Amino acid sequence: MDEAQERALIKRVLDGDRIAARELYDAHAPRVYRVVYRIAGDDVLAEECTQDTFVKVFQSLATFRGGSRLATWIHRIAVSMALNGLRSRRRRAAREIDLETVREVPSSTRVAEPDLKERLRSAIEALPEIYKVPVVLFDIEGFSHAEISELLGVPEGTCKSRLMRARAQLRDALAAFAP
Amino acid sequence: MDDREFEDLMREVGRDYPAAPTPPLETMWHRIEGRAFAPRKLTRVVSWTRPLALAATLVIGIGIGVVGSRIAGPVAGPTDPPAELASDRPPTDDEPSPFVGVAGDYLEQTTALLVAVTDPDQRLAYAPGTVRRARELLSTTRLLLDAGAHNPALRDLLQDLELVLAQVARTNDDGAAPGDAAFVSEALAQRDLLPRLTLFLADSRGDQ
Repeated sequence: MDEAQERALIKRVLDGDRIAARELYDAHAPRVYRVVYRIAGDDVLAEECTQDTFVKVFQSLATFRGGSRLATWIHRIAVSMALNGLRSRRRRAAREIDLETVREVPSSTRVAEPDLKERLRSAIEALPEIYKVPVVLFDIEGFSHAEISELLGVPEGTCKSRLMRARAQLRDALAAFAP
Repeated sequence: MDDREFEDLMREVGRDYPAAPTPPLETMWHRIEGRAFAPRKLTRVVSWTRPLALAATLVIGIGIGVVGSRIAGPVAGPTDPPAELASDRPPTDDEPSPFVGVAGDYLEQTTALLVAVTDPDQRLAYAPGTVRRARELLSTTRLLLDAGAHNPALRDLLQDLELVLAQVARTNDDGAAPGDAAFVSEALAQRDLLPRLTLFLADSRGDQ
């Protein structure tokens, strides 16, 4: 969908066209759900956050000024919903995975677990949220630094430095298995 | 492992990252439709907000005198020097401190506003007037801080309230800035503001 089509669709939604609203939802909901799922790692939370995101989108669409692409604006809301949902759930559960648990795997498993990809996936999951989210958005979902900066509301430099630190932690976590 | 090998591995992992389950698009749409396009239940907001505000008024009303005395310091006895109040001019015994009155009204209105913004109906968009009210309360908060709330607990509370009210006040007039409502709820929860207000008042009552 190009920008002109996007603007026309937004206008129809704002005019109360429910079919246009459904078109907008169909165009963005699958990716929103996927991004939220990968941040939250939970289908129930992903479902809740996706719903909250689109309720917010439709209630706030009139304020969308077109300063960014509609998809970026929608994903910014989605990421915010996902992070808040995740934090609330963590507070409730009062448990966090620590990256150290990845590092503390006994050395005897080195031979038994040669699958670096699996280990890297676990290490990504175990990253602190501040680093995991940029990795998920950049390396897995393919957002650009500029887009991530907008989604997270942080300067692009901050986004890059978080990614660098995330990679350093991931390499550290893999060091014992692939020196 | 060198940089290139690591980047290759990252790309591979990115490609193979566990796929999300198929989203229940229809189910989600029906729920979204019901929430986003249903007529706003303003009456419900009023019906919840008003009793809560009244309840807050009752709770705060009981505690206001004590809050005032906390702001003012220990109660002056017959031989004690007059308690130093936050205002520039110390009040006389038969003249209530204007600061206490302002603080009482302020706490009452702030509690009502915070209760309102945590209402699930307003989590995604505030009721009309909420942002304007937050701006007014933010000004009052800064005045109270500038006036010198010497009680450390009250000062901490005012500083946290300033931050949260600033977040609400930054929201667009229609309460629709993306994610802002969620950030406010998050900030409220992180700072335990409502429980602290309640505890502060309950603690004050206990001192009576």
